[in-house]
Amino acid sequence: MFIQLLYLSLLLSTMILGIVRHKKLTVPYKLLTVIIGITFIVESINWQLAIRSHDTRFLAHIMSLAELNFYFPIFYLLFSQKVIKKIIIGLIIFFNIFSFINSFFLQPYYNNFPSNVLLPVEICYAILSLVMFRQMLSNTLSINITKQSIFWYGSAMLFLSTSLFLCLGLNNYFVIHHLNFHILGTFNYIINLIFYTMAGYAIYLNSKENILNEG
Amino acid sequence: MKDDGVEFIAAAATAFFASLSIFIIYFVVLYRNKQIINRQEKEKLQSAFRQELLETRIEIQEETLNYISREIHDNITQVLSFVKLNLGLIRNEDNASKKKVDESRELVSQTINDLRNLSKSLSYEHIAALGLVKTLEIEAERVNNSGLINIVLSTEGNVYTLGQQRELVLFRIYQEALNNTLKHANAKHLKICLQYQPELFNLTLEDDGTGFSIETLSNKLGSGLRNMENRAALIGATATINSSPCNGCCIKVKLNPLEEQLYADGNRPNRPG
Repeated sequence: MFIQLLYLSLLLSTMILGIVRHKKLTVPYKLLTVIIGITFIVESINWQLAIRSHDTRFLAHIMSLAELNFYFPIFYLLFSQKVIKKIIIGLIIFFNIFSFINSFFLQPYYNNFPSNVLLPVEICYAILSLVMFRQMLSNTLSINITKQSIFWYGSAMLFLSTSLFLCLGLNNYFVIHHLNFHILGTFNYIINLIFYTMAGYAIYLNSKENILNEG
Repeated sequence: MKDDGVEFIAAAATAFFASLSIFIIYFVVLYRNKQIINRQEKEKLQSAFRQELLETRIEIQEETLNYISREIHDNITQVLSFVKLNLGLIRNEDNASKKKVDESRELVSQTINDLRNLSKSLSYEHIAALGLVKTLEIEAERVNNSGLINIVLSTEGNVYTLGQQRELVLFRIYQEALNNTLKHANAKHLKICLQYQPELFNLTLEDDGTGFSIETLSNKLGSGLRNMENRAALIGATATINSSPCNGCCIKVKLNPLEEQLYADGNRPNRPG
């Protein structure tokens, strides 16, 4: 309960920070603010529905669709290489079609979790984060790296996308050994808390004046 | 405890966070190294650009001075020579008028001489042909004759050539110093000392003027002094300027004549002269 409230508060405060700073933010970080806002709304509904013992798996379908339509465009705006931009556009189109097919035919939204979409998408996020680090190395800025919003965004995405595989591994281990899933839920919340803290810090650091090649 | 899976989750999470942290720290270190390399390259480029700019400025200045020198020598002094000749052709019985004409001829002669000397001090070719010591001797004599200041020139050690460009730059430093002394120092004496040691050349210019505090310099004088330092740096020399109110000014230029310098050989393309 406490960690859920903490998580929602963090989402809300990050969203408010983005709204307050929206004039100073560049487009990718404006998009990041919007997706955090959407996450806050969906997670609040999810929490309320879960309390009332409703099935909330359809929300995961909505969330995965929303995320891929925001996180991919953010990457698109942060990259400067045209080839990567084209690949990202291709990925957006492909995953939108695939999500639709998956939600209605492969893993129906009313009783399935959209793992078919989430897993490849998270792999793409991890790869894009690493490629973005490579881009940062080839276009080095004079400002301290820890003061660059792109570094925090890239780190946050790399952290979230790679931690998903850790969670899946743990999930399997817990199923096999019949362990208490409550602890795994808490661990998921901790990962999300870390991710949104890093994303919030990226929003806090971002400003149009010192973007240079940050997009 | 084991049933809850806390132990396993803690171990897995620790391994995961540690590897991710190591990766991010490695990336940060790599990025910082790249920043340092970039900064060094940028500084190197800026320094090369400044050097190139300074060389170009000096070359343009030398070309201009050479042009003025040629104009004085080939045009103004020639015209004045004609004026002198014409004055010599005037036949006048009147003693007072004759005296005036003679006086005028004398003045014109003096002006021609002064202009020739000035032309020589401006000309790159002349300085290159005569060498630094001889040029400074002529220059000292010219200034001493003007009565503006008394220049004492001394030479120590066996005189050797420093290369045409270096000698030209040293001469221009002397000219800048003399100009400053005459304009601002109110000095009576200027000592010029040239020390030729096997591995060190020293040029010292010392006046007994009012002096100044380096911290409270006007922009114009400050830029003149900076100009001297920049010129010295261009030939691989170091210029140090010492002065304080009521204690005159001392400019020392140190140069290692054995050190290889691009600008010293006088073989640069587009060089003046």
